[in-house]
Amino acid sequence: MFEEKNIKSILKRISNAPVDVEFVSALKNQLMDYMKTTPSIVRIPTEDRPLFKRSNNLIYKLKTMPIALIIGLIIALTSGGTVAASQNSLPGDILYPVKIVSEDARVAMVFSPEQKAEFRLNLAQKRIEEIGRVLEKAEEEGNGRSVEALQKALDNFDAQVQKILDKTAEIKGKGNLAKAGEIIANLETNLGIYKKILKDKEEKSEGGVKNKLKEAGSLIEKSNEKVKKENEDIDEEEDKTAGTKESAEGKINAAENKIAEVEKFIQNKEEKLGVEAVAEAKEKLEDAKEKLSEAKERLDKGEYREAFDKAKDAMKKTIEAKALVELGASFDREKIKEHDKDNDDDDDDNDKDNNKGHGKNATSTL
Amino acid sequence: MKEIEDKFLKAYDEYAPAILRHVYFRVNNKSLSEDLTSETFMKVWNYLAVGNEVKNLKGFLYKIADNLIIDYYREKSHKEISLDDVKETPDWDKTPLTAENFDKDINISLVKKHLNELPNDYKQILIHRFIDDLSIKEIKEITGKSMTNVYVMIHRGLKMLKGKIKNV
Repeated sequence: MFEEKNIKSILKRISNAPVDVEFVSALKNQLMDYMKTTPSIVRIPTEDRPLFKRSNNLIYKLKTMPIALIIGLIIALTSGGTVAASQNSLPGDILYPVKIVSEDARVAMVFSPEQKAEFRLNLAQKRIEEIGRVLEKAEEEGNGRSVEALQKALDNFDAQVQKILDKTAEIKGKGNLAKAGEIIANLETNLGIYKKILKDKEEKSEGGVKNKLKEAGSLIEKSNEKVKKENEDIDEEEDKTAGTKESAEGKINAAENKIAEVEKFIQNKEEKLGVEAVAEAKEKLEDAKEKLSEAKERLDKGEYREAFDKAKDAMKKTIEAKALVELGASFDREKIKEHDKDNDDDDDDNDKDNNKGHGKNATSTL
Repeated sequence: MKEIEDKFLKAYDEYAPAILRHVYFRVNNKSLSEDLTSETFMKVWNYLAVGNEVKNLKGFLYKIADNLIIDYYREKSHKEISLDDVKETPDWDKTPLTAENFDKDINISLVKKHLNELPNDYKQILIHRFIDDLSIKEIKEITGKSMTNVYVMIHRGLKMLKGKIKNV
């Protein structure tokens, strides 16, 4: 009765399946309202990010929009130009508080704890980038207010890390250990890179700035301890189910998806930043793939615990690969800059090549 | 700004029913499919509103919807549809498809049921190919799989589906 061509025909008939036109029309109206209230000038870090997480219906979301968000939106809408202008501000600038409020408003626009945590990872990175820019400014204009500015960036950085940890606890509480683990692994990797960057800066600084950067290093160290503790807790939770076939398969699938996602991300970045900027990340990703195939082999042999652990390693390496591109790019640019200083203008052509594709962020170094 | 809004709303008019249908057949739940469709369009708007350019909006919409579905499946195991109330209906080749007879069509119900039993990636590819009516190239772009891989998965998916239906 059911030949393959019949199945194809049935599937094609399904393509004409009626949809709820009232819903389609209602959703359009709601989206049009949403478009009016969405400040389009503040950049949302959706690019290069997995578009994860389901949340409640848009209708419900709009009805239950928190007061803080509405206030944030009012601020954003009534001071649109100010918000836009504030985006390049640094700690200590008049517009810096506007930038922070607009960021919080954007976080409030994201509805799931997973997305909020990912958004805040991005904000923590911004604070570290700001530290780099404050130091650049201090080099040009003298130390002046830079100690105070560094303190503000650090306070905000610390607040972001704490909020990421809170959201991770919430995600963990919901039972989504895989996502909580992924966020924590991201945070841990990023903190490691931040520490390296700030240490480098500290060695080159002096006076109050040097002390502040030393404090920053200790702060990151403390955050790292909290993150490690959280990581251990997640590991412990995961360990309870790590010996089952389902958990091993789940971990393998998650690692496989993440590898595919990061591979695309790296390809995209390679086009913009060049082969060298992503070489290390590619190598790391190859390691991740190797771990993944080992995990699959173990799974086939029925060694579920080992398969789970190997897949976990693969996931960790994949996250590191992404972080190397995301954060390492800024670090590399600084090296290029130093290299240029040492060689004066002798290597003009190389300099152009090295900076090619860095776009508008090329001057925003760390 | 107006240009982006027009582009987005035009895409909504053109693709919203198809995206809703796609999500519905992937998750097999009406309110969830509405929820995910809402979120898909909201995310696309967020992406466009900040000045990002999307060359192929149709593919991008499917890609975002797919990501949301993948995430959903990571969290929960979905429920299979029930065939309890399925009744024998006239020849599916000749009956016009309407909202009333759609769910009562035994052939459609059988295919729907067994489609839901396939591994997610096979289900995704078959839905993209036959229900969304996408080309192999479009599926390749949305899923990131190679053309050969897409062909192989369609072939295997159909074979699996046929096997499952035969065993009923």
